[in-house]
Amino acid sequence: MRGSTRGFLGAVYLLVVMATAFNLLLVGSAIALYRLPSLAHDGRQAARSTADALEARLEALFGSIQARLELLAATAPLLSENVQEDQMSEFVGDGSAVRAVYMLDSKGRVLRAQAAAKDERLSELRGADFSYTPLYRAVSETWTPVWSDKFISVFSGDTAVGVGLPCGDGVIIAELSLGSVLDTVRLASSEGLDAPAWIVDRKGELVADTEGLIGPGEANLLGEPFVRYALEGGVATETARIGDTLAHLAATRSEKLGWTVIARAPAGIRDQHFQAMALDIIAMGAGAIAFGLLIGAGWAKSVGGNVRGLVELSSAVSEGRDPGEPFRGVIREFDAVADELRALGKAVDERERSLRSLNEELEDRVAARTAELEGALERLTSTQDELVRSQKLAALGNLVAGIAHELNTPLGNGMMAVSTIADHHREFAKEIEGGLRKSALDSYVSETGAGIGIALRNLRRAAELIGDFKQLAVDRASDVRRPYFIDAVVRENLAALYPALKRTPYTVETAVEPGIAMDGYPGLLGQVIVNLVNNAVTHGFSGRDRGVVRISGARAGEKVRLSVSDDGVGIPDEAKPRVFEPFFTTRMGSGGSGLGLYIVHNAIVNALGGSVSLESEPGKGTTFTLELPLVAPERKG
Amino acid sequence: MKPGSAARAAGRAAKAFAAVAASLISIACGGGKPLAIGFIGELSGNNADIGEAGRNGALLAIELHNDSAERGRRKVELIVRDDLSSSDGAVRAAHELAESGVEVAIGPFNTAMADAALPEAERAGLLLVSPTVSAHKYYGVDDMLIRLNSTTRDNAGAYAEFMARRLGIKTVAIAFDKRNRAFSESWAEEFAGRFMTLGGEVAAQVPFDEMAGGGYGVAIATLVASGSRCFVFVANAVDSARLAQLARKAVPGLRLAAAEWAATGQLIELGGRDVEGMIQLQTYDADSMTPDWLSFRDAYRTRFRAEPSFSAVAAYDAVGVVLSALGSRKKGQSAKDAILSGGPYQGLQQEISFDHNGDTVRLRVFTEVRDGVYRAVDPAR
Repeated sequence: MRGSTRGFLGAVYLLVVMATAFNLLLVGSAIALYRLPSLAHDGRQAARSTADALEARLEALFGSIQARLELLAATAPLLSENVQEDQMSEFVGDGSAVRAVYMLDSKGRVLRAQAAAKDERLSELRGADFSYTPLYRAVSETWTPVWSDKFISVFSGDTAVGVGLPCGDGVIIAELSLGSVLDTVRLASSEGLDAPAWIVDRKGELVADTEGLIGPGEANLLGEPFVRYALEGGVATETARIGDTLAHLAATRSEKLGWTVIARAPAGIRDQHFQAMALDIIAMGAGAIAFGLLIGAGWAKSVGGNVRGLVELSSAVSEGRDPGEPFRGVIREFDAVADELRALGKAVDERERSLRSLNEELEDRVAARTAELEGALERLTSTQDELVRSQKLAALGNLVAGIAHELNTPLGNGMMAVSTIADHHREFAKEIEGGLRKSALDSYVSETGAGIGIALRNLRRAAELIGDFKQLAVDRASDVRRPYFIDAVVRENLAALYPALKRTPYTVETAVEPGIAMDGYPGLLGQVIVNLVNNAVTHGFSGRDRGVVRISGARAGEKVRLSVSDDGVGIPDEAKPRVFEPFFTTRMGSGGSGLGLYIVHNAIVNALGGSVSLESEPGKGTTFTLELPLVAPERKG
Repeated sequence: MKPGSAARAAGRAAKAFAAVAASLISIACGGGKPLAIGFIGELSGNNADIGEAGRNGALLAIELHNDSAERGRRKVELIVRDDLSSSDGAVRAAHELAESGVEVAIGPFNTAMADAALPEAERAGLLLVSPTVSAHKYYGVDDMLIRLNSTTRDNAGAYAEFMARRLGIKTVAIAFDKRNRAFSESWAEEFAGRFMTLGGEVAAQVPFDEMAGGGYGVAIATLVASGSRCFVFVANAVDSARLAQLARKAVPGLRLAAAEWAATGQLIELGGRDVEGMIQLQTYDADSMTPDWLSFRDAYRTRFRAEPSFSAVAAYDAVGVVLSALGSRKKGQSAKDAILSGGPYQGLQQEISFDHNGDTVRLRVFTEVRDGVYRAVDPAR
């Protein structure tokens, strides 16, 4: 129970953190999206103002050096060599701003050089050829003041920048150490600038970095598209990637110095304003999370208690115990759940009860129904047996009718002969009252002898018939097992059928191999034959004016194959699988019992141990083939 | 909680947030940390011309590599450090590069700086690939310095051969820079030895130290006093220019030569007409017309608005060697082994192959300053 509550608490905390973080992300993104354009605008503004301000300050600071040099250049040609040197010396001063000043003649050779300290090298420079230096070339070509790119000073052997301008027919050059340039830049950028900046010369060489992160010479920025564009004269302000860093960039080119100031206010996540905003959002989020966790903890605790109560309640309900006092929790829905649970418990109880009674009732009903069904089945079985029996009786009836008919002729003839004799006897008796005459006696003897002969013949015939029928009747009635000849059984049964067949246009032909001795139940076999012949006559020849039933039999190894075929209408395919089923008939209600072939199948398969198969083609007739073992199996029971 | 610690924590949180965001952004942009290659060179002071050109050459090689790099291939960045022409500066530069995780640095560009930086590089496992250092003492030594230049013996010997045999000079006087003595004195010795072997005479061999005061005057006076009509300066461009100006002022019509160290554009700019006719060994052929060279030269001009010099070409080649070797190095192989076992590498104008000590032979083209430019000399022509 404790474990699950802790899990619940954890889930609540996680939910609080996740929900807050998600909100933070959403709200933060929205704020950022809303604020970013104005931040970017501010950044670009900062860069632009920095570039412009720094450029103006640098021009002012270096411009003052240039202005002094211009003054020196204007006066120098008017002064004597010594005064010139004094003036130059004064111009250089302590060397903190200007390291050296060179006066070049019209060919670019050094006339005079002056530095802060007296130096042997200064005098050595006299006569040195500066005509190939870019600065001299630029001045002599444009005849205007020119500030140089970074160069190596022949005087100091150090990197320097210089400013040159026309002086008489020559050129005067002031050399500033890179150190002093950096000092000046530092001074210019010491305050009031919104962004760091780089100062690059015409070749893109970094002259100074106001942040001091990159030393002079460590970078050439011409490779940066923005710098190249600015150096080619474009006045650019944009937010672009410089190096690997996104920045708001602004470039201002100083025409006077030939340098370009590139101010770069950090953009994106490096932007301080952005960072501050992000920090605010994060702080807000953290506060919200902390608050959420605090509230969440208390809430989770009471909810946890409620949940435990609910769990208790539900287990009571599920175990069918008394749920106890009504539950009251911190959340109305919990109360509702508790009420629902109680109601559920009650409902479950009631339903259980009704289910139980329903169940009992159902069992009774099932038992009753089962009994009913058993009775029905019993009735069905007995009905079936009765039907079979009545079928047998009907067959027996037919047999009796046949017998009667057969006996009728010899008995009739016998009766007629005897009654004729009786007539003769009366006439003779009357005649001998008048006296016996020899002629009368002769006539009486001959007539009586003839009559007796006729009567005797006919009575003998009747006796023979009765003998046959007696056997048949015994067979049919008793199902006695005995040895028999199959041809005799066929013949006897056909004889019994004969009277009925005689009234029809159909004939029966037999071709049964004589003398096949069998052991079994000839009564059953006879019934089979009668049923098959009746089936052919009743169904196969239905509606026909002629038809032949052929019965053939022959021995096949230890078996006898007996076939009964007709040339009738045949059996439709759909009926074939069902013909041996009980009560299957196509003539229900018009005399068919649906048991004939069922009895055939039963007798052959169950009693005689053989098999029966059926071949039929609609319109061409039907053949039933029986295969019977010579010796039928013993009947069980 | 101490006062201020909350603010510090907030600051740290902000930094952490910024760092996470930055890394997420860089991941999202598919960047990945670029491969850092160091650079140590003199970017201020009187050798800044060599250093700057070397930096330009290296930078160009890397920028071209990054531009042509297929998508997803690792970008390369150059971390540049100025050795300030001082031993301390060189040591600090090597130290800083190694500290920032750099494995290979291009540079230094002269022997004095290599002397200073190498022990620190050995200690920190930083491989120095110098485009220009040639002091013979580094020849045949298995160390953390791989050089693209020939040795001073080769180069100075070649000067001696060229001047004695091709130009038929009998007597020379030599001034060499004491401040880069490891290079210049050895160069002067090698030159003198070979020159004398070839039947020449070395009338004077004078050290100078321009910064020590006294300027170049003393050295020039000694050279002039030797009576030789051919001076050889073993000095950088600035010193050679100044020495040339003073020498030609003293004795017009002198024949002048300067060691390959001085063979930059600065020599001509600063020397002016006084360096006309000066003999110089270049380690590349500026007049080459091969497409590789022309496209390199045009790219260099566009990128830096300047002409490439020997150190630019050599640094460009050095970066090529490093990137090629690192690109195909086997797992667990050191950068040094990768470079030495790989190759030969195709440089701009020559094939570069190293022996097992990381020594090689550099192209040699003798030039003379004519009308303000270096022109290849071929007296046979």
